[in-house]
Amino acid sequence: MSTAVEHHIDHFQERFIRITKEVGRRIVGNEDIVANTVTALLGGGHVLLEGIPGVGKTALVHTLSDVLHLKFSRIQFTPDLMPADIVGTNIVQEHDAGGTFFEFQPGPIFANIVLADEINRATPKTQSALLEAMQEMSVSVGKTTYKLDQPFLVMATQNPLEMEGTYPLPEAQLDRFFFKLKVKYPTEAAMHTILERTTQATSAQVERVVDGDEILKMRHAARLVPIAKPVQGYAIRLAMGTHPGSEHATPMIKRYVRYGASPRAAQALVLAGKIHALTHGQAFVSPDNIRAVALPALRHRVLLNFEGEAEQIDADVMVNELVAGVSPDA
Amino acid sequence: MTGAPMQSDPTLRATVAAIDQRRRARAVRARVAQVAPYAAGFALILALASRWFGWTAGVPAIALVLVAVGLAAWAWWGGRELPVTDAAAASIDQDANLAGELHSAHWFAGRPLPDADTSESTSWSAFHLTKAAAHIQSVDWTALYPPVQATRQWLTSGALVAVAIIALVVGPRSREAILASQGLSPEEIEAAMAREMLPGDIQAKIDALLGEIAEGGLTDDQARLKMDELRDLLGKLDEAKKEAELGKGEAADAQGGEKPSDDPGDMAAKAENAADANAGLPEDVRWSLEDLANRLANAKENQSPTNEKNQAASEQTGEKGNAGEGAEASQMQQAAGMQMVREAASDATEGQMMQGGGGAMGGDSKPGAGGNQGGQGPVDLKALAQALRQEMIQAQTDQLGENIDTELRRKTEQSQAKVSFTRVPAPTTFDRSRAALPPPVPEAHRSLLQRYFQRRQ
Repeated sequence: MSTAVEHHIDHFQERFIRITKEVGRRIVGNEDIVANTVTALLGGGHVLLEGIPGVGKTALVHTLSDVLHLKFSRIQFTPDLMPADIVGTNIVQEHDAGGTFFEFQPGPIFANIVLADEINRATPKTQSALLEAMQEMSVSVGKTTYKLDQPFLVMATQNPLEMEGTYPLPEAQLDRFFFKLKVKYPTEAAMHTILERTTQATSAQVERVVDGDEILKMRHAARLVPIAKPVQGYAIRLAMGTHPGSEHATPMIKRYVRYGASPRAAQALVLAGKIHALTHGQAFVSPDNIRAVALPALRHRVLLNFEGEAEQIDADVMVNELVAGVSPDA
Repeated sequence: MTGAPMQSDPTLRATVAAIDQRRRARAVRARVAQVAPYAAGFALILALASRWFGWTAGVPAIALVLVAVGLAAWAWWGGRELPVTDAAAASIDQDANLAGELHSAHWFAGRPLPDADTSESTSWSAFHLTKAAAHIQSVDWTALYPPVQATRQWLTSGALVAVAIIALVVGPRSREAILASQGLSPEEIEAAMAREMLPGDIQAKIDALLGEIAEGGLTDDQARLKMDELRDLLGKLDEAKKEAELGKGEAADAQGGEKPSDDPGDMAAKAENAADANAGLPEDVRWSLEDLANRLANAKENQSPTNEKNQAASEQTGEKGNAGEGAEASQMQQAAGMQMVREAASDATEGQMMQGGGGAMGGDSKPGAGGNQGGQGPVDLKALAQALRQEMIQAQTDQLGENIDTELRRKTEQSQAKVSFTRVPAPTTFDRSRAALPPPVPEAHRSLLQRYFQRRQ
């Protein structure tokens, strides 16, 4: 019995390392972004990538789909994009024998990995269509509901600079993202490597490491990792601490936060903590695992009040302060 | 099945409990070792004080035993067997750098055994417990929580206790403690202490002179000569006493104004005896002896009860010395039978009033500084009434600049204030030009403000 569990852990760890290593052959730097993206995929969640243009957000998604041997599609969000452009629509077809009928033409959402580029440029109506699919893992067209293929991962990107003419994601929809990752500008050394790789005649090739079935097995294994109640309590306290009325809230949160994280945040913390534990060869979840994933899991779930926005308070600072302030011991 | 549910891994729980007990005991012993020198120091101070003041040796001995027993009980109590809390498990985990494994395993080990024996999650939990037990066994807990090495503290404590015991036997003792150990009563001790304050030669000479006078057989001239000698010695004695009082004034104040008073009394008795025993002496010598006895008796009276009373009264009234002086002055004036009615009455009343009287007035407020002091000393109601009447008469005739040097009343009380107030009617109309505009929204915040309200829609 123990051997089987040990085998699961080793297998998981080995696959995870291979995926990140393979993605790293194309994506230079941002190792934590790659690891967190794979974590979100294994946790069954979606990722919101935020970064200035040209830092490799789209390249990351492309590379990931290549490595995972999964079906990939890309949707460029624009203000005139309609929900049907995402989920698909019924089109009129003609029978060979005459007569017409409606046939469902699936949209780009029917893929394993969907890149929703600049998601904040589309109207709220279109955003809602995507976000409903993200949550339900299915789309409804007319009277028919179509199940999406598993694994299903939406990677939405948004540019934090050009905010004119955009439709910021509503709070309820932000909450549906498992992680929000900030893609940083590469360092000078990383820039050298990027230029060497991208300005030569040949580009780096990546191998397909795992397929969809293996991803699903890894997801299942991650959910089996036991978590002790005190550690789970720590995750709950962290999630509750983002609320200004909570006893665990820091003074900064009490002053600048309007709404805190939902229970989904606690789910994300625990699930991501389990995956983080497995990637480190542990068969248990420790507060350190929870702490390691707190920032990407909570930063987009902390909604600032007007004072916080006017003061341009960084949610990362507040989450880090919260993590430092909340004790793992009850 | 009844009773407590079976634990998943009682062995692991027991191991963690033993580690926790070791950790707690170590922490408490370290604290005890820190506190022990201070406790021993306290015992030493107590032993020295006990020896100096002549207390019984049982006081420091009992204190020493109590402190030792208390420290031992503290050490035992801190290291006793206790159920391991989650926080304690987390703390041990952190100390051993087990990355949360012990903390988590401790919780799983305390859970009841699941019914489904082959479920996947159970196998993961079992694997976790097995791995954690192995890791816990691999940790060198003796090295992590070594026995407390506090040799220096224990040696210091032992040395201090030894010094305390020695101090109890051979430590310095005060003169009072030495006299008390000789079986003298407190009065005898006080008398002996006072006698020791006088110069030895003067004391010896006075005793010798009084002895010679008491024996008799002196001629008139010799008796007068001896009396003159005795007066000179008494004059020296007064000077010596004054010097001693000046030197020990502060100490006497601290002891509540106690002053040696037995010595003049003894000498007064001797002088009186001498006068009685020598009926054949010349008149002037006998008178001198009687006068001497009276002076010594008066000196004794002035030193003990009267002074104490006056001092207590002055302490109560808050007046330093005035009341006592007034009382003495009134006694002297009354004794002399002087006819200064107004002044004497006034002074006497002041003195009595300063002492604060009880009697019929009880605790009620009384005139003069330090009123409402009732309960001590008799009050001469006649004198009080006379003083009040006198004060009222004087107050009627008081004139600024004639018999009053300064005017202590405030300007407003004299109706000479320069400040005046004028009632102004409140404005009945609102002046818009006086209303302040709200602060403008900063340019940097305008877009945020607009977006904030747009989003709210």
